[in-house]
Amino acid sequence: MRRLTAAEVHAQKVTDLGLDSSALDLTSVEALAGALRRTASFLCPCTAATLVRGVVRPLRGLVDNIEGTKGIVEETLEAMIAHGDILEQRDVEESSTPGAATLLYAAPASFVARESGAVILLGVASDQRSALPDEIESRIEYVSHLRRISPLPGEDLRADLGQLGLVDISYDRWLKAPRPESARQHLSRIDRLLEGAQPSRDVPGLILLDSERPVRYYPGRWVEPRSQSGRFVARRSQAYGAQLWCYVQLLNGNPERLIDFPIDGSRWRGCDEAWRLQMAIDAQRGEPQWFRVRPGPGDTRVVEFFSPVPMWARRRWDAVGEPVPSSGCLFAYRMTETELAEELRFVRDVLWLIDVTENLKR
Amino acid sequence: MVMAMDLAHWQKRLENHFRELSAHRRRKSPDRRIFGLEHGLDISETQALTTAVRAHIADGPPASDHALAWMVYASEIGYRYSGDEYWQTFEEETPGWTINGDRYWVRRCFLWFQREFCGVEPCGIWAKHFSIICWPITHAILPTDLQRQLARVLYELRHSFSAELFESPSILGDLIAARSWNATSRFQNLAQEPQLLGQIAAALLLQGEFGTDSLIHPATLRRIGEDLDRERRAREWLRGARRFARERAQIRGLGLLGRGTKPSSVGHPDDARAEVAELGIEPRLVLRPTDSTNVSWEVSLEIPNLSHLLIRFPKTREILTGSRCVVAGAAGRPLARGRCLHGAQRVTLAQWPLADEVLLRFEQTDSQLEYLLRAECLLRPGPTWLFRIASDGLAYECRSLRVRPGARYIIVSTAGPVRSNGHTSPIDLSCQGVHGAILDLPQALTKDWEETLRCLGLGQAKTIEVWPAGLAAVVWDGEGHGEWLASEQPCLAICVDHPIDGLLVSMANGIEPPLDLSPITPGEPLFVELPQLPVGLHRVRVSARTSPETDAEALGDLDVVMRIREARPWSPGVSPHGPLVVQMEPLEPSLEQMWEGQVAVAIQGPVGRNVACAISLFEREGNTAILSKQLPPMRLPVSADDWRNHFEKHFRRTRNAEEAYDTVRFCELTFTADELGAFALRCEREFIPLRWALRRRGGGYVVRLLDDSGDDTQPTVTRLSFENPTVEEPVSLAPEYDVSAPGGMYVARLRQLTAGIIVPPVVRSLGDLRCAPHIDEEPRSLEAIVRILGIADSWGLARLPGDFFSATRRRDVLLRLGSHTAHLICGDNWAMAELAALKGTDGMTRLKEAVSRRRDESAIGIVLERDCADLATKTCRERVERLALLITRFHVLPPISPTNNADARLHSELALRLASNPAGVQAWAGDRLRTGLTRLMESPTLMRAARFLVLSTDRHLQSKARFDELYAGWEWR
Repeated sequence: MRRLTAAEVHAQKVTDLGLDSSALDLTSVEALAGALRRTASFLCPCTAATLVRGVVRPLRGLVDNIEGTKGIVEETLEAMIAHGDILEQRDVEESSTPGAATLLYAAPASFVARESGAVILLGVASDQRSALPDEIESRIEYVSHLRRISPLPGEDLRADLGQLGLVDISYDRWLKAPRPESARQHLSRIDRLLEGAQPSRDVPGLILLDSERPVRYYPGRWVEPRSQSGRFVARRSQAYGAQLWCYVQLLNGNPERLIDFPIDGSRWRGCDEAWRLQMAIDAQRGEPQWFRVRPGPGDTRVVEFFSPVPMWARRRWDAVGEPVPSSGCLFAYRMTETELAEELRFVRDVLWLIDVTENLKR
Repeated sequence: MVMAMDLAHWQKRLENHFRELSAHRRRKSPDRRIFGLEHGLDISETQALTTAVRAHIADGPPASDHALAWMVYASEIGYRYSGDEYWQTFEEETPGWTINGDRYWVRRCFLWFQREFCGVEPCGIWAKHFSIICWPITHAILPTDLQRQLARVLYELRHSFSAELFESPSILGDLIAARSWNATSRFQNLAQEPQLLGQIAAALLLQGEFGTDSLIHPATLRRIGEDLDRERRAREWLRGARRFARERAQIRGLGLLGRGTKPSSVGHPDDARAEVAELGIEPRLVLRPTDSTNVSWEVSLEIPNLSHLLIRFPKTREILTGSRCVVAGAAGRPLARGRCLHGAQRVTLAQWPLADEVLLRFEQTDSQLEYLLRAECLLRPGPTWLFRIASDGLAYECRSLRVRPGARYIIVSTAGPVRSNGHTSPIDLSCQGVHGAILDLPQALTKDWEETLRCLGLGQAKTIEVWPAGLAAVVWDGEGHGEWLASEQPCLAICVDHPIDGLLVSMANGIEPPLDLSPITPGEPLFVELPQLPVGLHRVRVSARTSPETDAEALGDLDVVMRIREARPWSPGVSPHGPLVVQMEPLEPSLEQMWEGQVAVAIQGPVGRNVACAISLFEREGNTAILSKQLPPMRLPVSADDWRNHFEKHFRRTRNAEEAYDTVRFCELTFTADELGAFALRCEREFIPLRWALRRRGGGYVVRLLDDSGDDTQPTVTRLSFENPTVEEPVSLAPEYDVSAPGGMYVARLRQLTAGIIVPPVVRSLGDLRCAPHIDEEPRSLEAIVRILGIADSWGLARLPGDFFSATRRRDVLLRLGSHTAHLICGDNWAMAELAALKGTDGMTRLKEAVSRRRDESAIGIVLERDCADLATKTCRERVERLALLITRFHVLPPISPTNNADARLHSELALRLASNPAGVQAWAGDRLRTGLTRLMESPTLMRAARFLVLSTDRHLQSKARFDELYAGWEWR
């Protein structure tokens, strides 16, 4: 038994996570992602709040700003869910019950192989830091919440990981996105579903994403229902667990019809469908959501976003770029010049965002 | 290149080698035996010996002068054995053996080797049943297909290794045996010999170091190690286990051989209680809100993974894997067999359990398990329980009745409604027998609040707070109880909220000297790193000191209880933490069970997502599949019935599968659901000493009896036709039987062993599709009924080949045996009424009237007809209850004692089982069969009512019986 300083605790626990304690401490995104994976392997299935608490509570006394750290843990968790390390699903044991809680599940240890032979690791190995043998684990490159391995000359990583029992998820399947459609088509399709919904009564704990509010500051767009009329992306509370995402039609602040996200049988999360719908609403209103591009180191560019995007979009950028710290925007990815053009086309055509790089400069 | 030697030279060389090896091993340890595989020959020498053996047997019978060469030859075949037919392989690889060879002679070689050289003698139930092939397989040390499983188990146990353990092979073997509850049946056969298993394991782990050089011959050990290295996962497991083994083999006195690892036999009750406490199998109560206003709550019980119980108490295995678990207060069905061994389970309670009610009750149990569950699986003493509402909105049971300011709690009481005042808000609990209220404590407690707490029997938590620092513990209750993995080095943060001079941190078991911490700043956490702790329960005491000179002050103590457990090994596929929940019953299904629809596979997961299933059939280990088929995807959730129907429709009934099935030895099923997970299932043919093999020849079939019993007595064989299914025709024993076109059942018997196979008819015309089994009239007697049930058992237990007609014919036969049994018990009038019911439109009305023509019983048929639609939706057990109530109400069964409900229930179940499927009734009833049948013959109204219930519900369900049912909705599980 011995007494440790806070710095020693940081170093010891970062090492326990398999990370370099000389470069990282427990507040780094890499360590928080490792702690989230580790805690998920014990606690899942659980709510997001439980998982965040499981990571944040042991940091008491080790960080100056526990609330700020909690915010980073939440952001990291969101990125990991989008990435596929942790899966968000309705409680599978209660799935036939209306209003079943949304819970987090540990994705099985799996990987996505790129054409280059490099692999992206996903998922959690119960009770273990990793499902990989030491010599492969030591080659993992940790970048933010991502874990990648590059092949050695002549090495067939895909075959090796498959033999070790990791689930092989094809790149196309991992990146699978909804079929392309215009913002108008998308909005009309969801509107039709809403029109077919049963009339709704009182909806407890409803909050609205107000399309009238500026697209630049996402948290500022959430409002309480007052006397609004129209259709809104919204969230509503449930007995326990995360709030549900929904699309609601209001008359003078009172709900008339409502559909919950995700739509039955969907492979996406509720928030993915809601965020995509809001992008369509904003685009149709003539106020599309924003992105901007700034120079990065070397031949890279940093693309900054001001609103959340569905997980199938983030996965693309997890694969071709890497997340970087950002200020003045919600999140940002760095990517090489060669990848940029295709990704910007995707952003414009599929997410209906507009480039405000020049506007913001002015 | 090895020079050709004759068998006499090989014999001489082997004799010298084994004598030396035996003497060396006995010098090291008199109880250590040697194995045939330790022959010390390299690959080319082994090949040369093989050639010499084959050359010899081609010309004449084997000679006792060459016993060692034959023993090594047989062991080498055993090393490659993977559960298929040993003698078939032996014969194929040894031309001339069938003419010149003799199995019993092979056993004599091994017996001589055992006597002369201290060779291993196989033991255990497996060795009794397979009294010849157990020798070459045991002497093969670790056949290749079992190597991977041993590597995995050793990896799982790596944190339990110690120097003492390696010195006690039998304890190490016991430990491995206990951990291999979910291994294949062949591995479990190996585990029946713990001494040998421990010897093999210690040798593999320590590779001749630390005094283990005499366990296994170095060349043999190297060979097994190299074979293990061929498969990457096995290599990594063994490498990981070896690393720990080397570290631990040098450390003594860690106490690892104590409670932490050794399987227990439960001696003193207090010891058992302490051992169970270490396992952390205590269920936990959790409250969950059912509305967003937090007024309504449901009570659920979280049952932890019970697999640790198996390691410490191996005798509980049969019950935990083979018996369903009833949860006290739960409304639904019992938990499926083995479900508690696959991660934590959450069960909703409809009724608050009684104070002395054991929370988990297995349908079958024994005194040891009952004692263990009584030790740990009770509610905490009431009448008040406290739950803390966490940030996820759920309320978790606290171990004490102490609260902290600023937190929210639910207080639950069985002593009437919780007293309401301004501080408590009553809630509705959807659980009978209990009341609850929410307490929302302010940051600072006023006198009023303190008074409320006092009235409620609650106290305030102590002012020393401890929590896991840096990274979370596996489990932490927020108050001082936690669980860590043995691979971790725990670190605790300690914080006090009032000025004190110092803190003393000590470990109750004295592993480390106490740690004195001072000065202490209130509100500022300090951190303590604990040593790496062995598996078990540890207590860390944190004591406040007012000044350095004074002793630790009792008032400021806080005990932290740390349970250290083994990490569960990662395995591919689904985990209890993932979104796919797979339930399987039985846990290790055989190929036959899968084929015959006796396996329940249920998959829960995100609704509407697809699960793909692929099935591959293999004839031999290492060969490519002879048939692989991708089934259409299934939508989640998949019920056991969905799966059976899917398998039946898309695989079993396909021509390719029917044809391939008869020759395959195992099948692999893989279920994949993209990122949600995947799992694989391997089903092998049943490994029983007496069994039939069937193959197609021309337009018909050939069956062959495989006898691995090694018994000196020859089996007897009889044949029964579909047309006369109760007439047994003796058949003389032959190597194989060419079955004529009508097919039938072949039954072989040898002492206690029975094996049957149903050979399908050759269908050439529409007329061949039909079968009308005939049973001769016989007088109504108990003996006649018992004989029919015995025959029904033979038909029911016989194996089905791939051809679908074998199943339909068996069904026809069993239906006929069922109606005949009913005829014998219920009488001629009933039999005629059943015939009429089959033909006429008003037949069921006649049948209802025939249940009883006595005035005081005539309503029985009416009630059953009225309730038929409802009863059709119930389980068999619920129907038993309803029938028992009915016959009690109508006094159908003269009671043994006036209030003996169990008697009515037992005879109702017997009647319903007889009425719905006569096969299996004997096994179910056991000793109660004859008295039960006698009572039914005395009170035939009960049997008639049961038969009417079965036939009417079948008709209500449109006779859509499943593959393994005779009547729709009558699956006894």
